[in-house]
Amino acid sequence: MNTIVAEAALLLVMALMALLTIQTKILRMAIVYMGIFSLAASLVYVLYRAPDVAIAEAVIGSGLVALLYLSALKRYRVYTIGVVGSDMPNVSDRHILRLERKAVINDIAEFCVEREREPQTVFSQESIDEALLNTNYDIVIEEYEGGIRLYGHDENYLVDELELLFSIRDRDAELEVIRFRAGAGI
Amino acid sequence: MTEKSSIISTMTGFLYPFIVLFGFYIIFNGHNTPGGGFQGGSVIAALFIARYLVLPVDDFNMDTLHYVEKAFLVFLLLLPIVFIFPGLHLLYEQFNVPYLIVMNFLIGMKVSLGLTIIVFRFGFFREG
Repeated sequence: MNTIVAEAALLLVMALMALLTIQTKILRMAIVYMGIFSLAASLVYVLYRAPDVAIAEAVIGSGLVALLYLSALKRYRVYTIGVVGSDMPNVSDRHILRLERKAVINDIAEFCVEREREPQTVFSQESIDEALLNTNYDIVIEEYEGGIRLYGHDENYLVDELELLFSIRDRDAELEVIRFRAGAGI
Repeated sequence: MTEKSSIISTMTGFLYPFIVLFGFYIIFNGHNTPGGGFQGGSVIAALFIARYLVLPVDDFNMDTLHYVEKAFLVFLLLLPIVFIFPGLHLLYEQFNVPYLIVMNFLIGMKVSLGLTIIVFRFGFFREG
């Protein structure tokens, strides 16, 4: 009786962790959930009388794979900032260096360096819709009369922190953070 | 993983001997209890993984690790060729259990070195 209850509980935990792994927006948390999933799986193996498999699963599933994913996450560090100037067809240096935009880019770049990401800025003449469909950008900056819009990926966990950062700082121009789904527009 | 955490480093230092003991226990009792070379080897590899978490320093000589791993592979192939193929396991049945223990030990060492090499190659991979 007890083993049945334990088995059901562990299987429920596994299902829950699997759902959390694919639903979370923070990659680091997804790795942790996957480790817990592996640990629950190894306990289920013990209940199914396969202690051999349980040991291997516990060590490899929650130790080695989690570490490999963590160090892979550390490698995934280039942060691409797309700057769109559809309102001005001829993008000149003077235009690029317009004060407010430059300040925003610098803020994002500093923030990326703090988070161990390497900022990379791309200036493009695409329209904003084209830029949002382009999956290479992590964040897109669009300037219009009197303000700036930041388009952040829905699933990019740095955007939340960026939004917080910009909401704390005072800024002359209006700044808006908008989420979009990768490859699907706003 | 960049900033040092004294909780993790203290606990890992405390757990080091137990990980080693548990790994070798699994290896040397693999022939009649659950476990065996692969499981024990991966437990011992977890030791180096824990060390990498605490202190990500590349002070191993990777080439030496590679050579030792290959040497274990050669022994792993040689032992059955010497013991099983001539039919010695039927002649001297009292050596069967020691043979299994030695095989488990060789497998365990090979697996632990292999997993350690994988993790360290991946962890210290540099572009270019």
